[in-house]
Amino acid sequence: MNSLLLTIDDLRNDSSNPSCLSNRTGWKFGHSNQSSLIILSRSLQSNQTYQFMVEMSNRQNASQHATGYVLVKVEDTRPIMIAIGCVINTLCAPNSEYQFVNPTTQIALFSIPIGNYSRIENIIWNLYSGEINSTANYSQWILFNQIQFENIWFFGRNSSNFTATKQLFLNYPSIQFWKFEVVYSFSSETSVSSLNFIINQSPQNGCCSISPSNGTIATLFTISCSNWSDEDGIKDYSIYSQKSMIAFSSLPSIEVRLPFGDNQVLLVEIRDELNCVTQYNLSSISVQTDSQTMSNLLTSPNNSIVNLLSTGHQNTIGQLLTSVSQEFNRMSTENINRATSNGIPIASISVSSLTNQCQSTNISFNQSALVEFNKDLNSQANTLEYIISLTQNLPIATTSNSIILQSSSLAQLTKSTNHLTRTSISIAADKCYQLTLALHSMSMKMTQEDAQIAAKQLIQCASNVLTAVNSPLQERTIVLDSDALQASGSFDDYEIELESEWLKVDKNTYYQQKIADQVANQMNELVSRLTSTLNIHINVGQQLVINTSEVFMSLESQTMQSLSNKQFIDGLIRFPSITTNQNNSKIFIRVCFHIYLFIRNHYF
Amino acid sequence: MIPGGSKLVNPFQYRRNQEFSIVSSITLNCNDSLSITKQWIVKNCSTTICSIEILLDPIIVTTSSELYIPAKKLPFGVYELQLTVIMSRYSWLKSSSLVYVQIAPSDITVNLVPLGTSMITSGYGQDLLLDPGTYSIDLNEDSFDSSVSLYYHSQVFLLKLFLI
Repeated sequence: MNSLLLTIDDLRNDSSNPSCLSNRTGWKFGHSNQSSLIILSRSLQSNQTYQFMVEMSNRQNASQHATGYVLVKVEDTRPIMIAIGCVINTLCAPNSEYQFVNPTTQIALFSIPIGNYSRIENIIWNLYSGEINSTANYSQWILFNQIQFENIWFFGRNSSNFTATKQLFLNYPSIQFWKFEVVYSFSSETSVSSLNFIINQSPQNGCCSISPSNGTIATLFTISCSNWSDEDGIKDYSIYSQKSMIAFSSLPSIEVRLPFGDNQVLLVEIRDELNCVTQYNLSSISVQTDSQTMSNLLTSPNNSIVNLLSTGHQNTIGQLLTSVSQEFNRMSTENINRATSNGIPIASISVSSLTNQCQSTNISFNQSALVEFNKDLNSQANTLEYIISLTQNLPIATTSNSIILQSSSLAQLTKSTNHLTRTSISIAADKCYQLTLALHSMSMKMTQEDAQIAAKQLIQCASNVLTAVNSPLQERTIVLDSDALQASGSFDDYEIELESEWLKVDKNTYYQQKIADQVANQMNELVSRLTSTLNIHINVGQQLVINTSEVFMSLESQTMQSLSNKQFIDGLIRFPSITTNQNNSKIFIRVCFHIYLFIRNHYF
Repeated sequence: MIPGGSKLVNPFQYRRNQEFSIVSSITLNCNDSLSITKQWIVKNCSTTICSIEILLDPIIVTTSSELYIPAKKLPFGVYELQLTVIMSRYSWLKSSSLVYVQIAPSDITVNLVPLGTSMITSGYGQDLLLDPGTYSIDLNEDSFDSSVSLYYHSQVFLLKLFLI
């Protein structure tokens, strides 16, 4: 009245704007504490849409208010209420009559009928783009033509879950409002519900810079970001180098050490409090290395890894581990190349990546080169074991940044698989497994992109440790001195089992096989947890591919119907004949190739 | 300390449903043993003094150079976070640094129907239940206790009607 809202129990009447509740007493409180309200049947008119608003105020602090809205369309039938929610609840923050949607990630919705209902005959999702009618101050919705993008941008249109990829928002940046509507057809009635969104703006108008423009792996570079603005506030800045995370910080200025590489392009991700991300490319920089810098990093008292690991925070530690391990990987490749150029067969000293082409050589074998190779290999393996052991002290915080940062380091640290001792393997496998558990525990709070980046690093780690633990058993790599030494000094199960006649392997093989079995079990569990973490983001018809030089993994969800004679990569997998009543049930498929093929002899 | 520069009268503000980290940068001026121990202590503050040390959830690691506080682990109020670094070999050589934070209430998400659905259909001959006491979400807590409506006073407003 007089532009003031009248509450529903107020019986005054505004003649210029009369109440639309035809029977002003047609309601009652549904709960003794008045926290719910029932609008009685026949109080609202059919074929009309009503908007309800509720305001909650804090009894102890009257200035604290919260409001909620709902639109109700009244029909002559008796529809079942359908509720719609976001699969990743934390990505859909409420904003007045709308929810926020981030244009930088996909939106996945689910719907459920509330209460008893007969069989669902059909489900269909419709999408509307909205514009505010400035005179009437309400949104006008225009049906979006989905057909041409079905199974490209849109997935699950005829199921309870519906997903729209970020391509929708990126291709229609000027549209600020979207309405996702689901229509359930039951045998005798039809229910319609919708969830309405407003686009959350990603951080705008800022820039970032790095100085100096070149240096070594020991140089402290400063990355400064300025003038980024966002209505929700900036949550953090994270720095990526070739998809590996280097650092993250809530402050716009970050000091980092960088891995070796010419003309590296670093990426800064600026994230707002509602997880909306803007990406910014820094100007390219070159980072040099030399053996002196490496040995300084390892030994110098003021700059040593030990010092920095004990005093530094996880950014510093992550950067050092990444730099040092990339250095190791580079030295390892050099050693292997030197050895093969001296006639040592590559297949006997290392397991090459999925992308490497095998080259046969006809160079005569040089015994002294093998001795030299072994010496370097063992010395590097011992240093690597020491560095990997330091990761045990890093606490795992359940934040996506922390998990991604540590996973990136572990994927790098395990890359030179022929350098991994049993101790290194066991520590790395355990750490990657713990990181996977942490990732899994927060899987319902992460964006699909973050989950995928972390999973990519962790599956590489799993593939690396499996290759490392199995390759000496298959005589694909040389048994490391420290493993042989450790085996010769151990007297336990081996001595007992030696009594039994069927144990025909040497001591080192016995211990290697033992840890290989442990790691295989742990990594099976790891892959299974990663799969279920990623599965949350995959709707029917969607595919998620992780493709690196160590591992290829493809996850997809399909209806049984679409599966007959489906081809995966270059292979054909036939499924048993499918009966008709299973046609609409969903099946989840994981195809995974590691470098290592599981052809193993079981000794015990 | 990162972020730095907070005071008791001007603490950093975090909502109760926000997670946050305080990161320290430690420089040692010593060529002897570099082994150090780190310990974080959290005290509850009045407007003038921080005296009562509080017990943190055991999942919070208090012996690292950074302190990560997950969402909903500290009640509303102002806190002093103190890091003490001690040289392991010379326990009398120690140094401390302080940060002040305030935990403020988070918003309430008011839902009249399940999951905050924007629009529903209802039958002319059906009762329509609008139940914000059950379906709302208190971001300060893990679930919205409908008895909270004793604390939050609910009133339903009829806002406006329009035809589509």
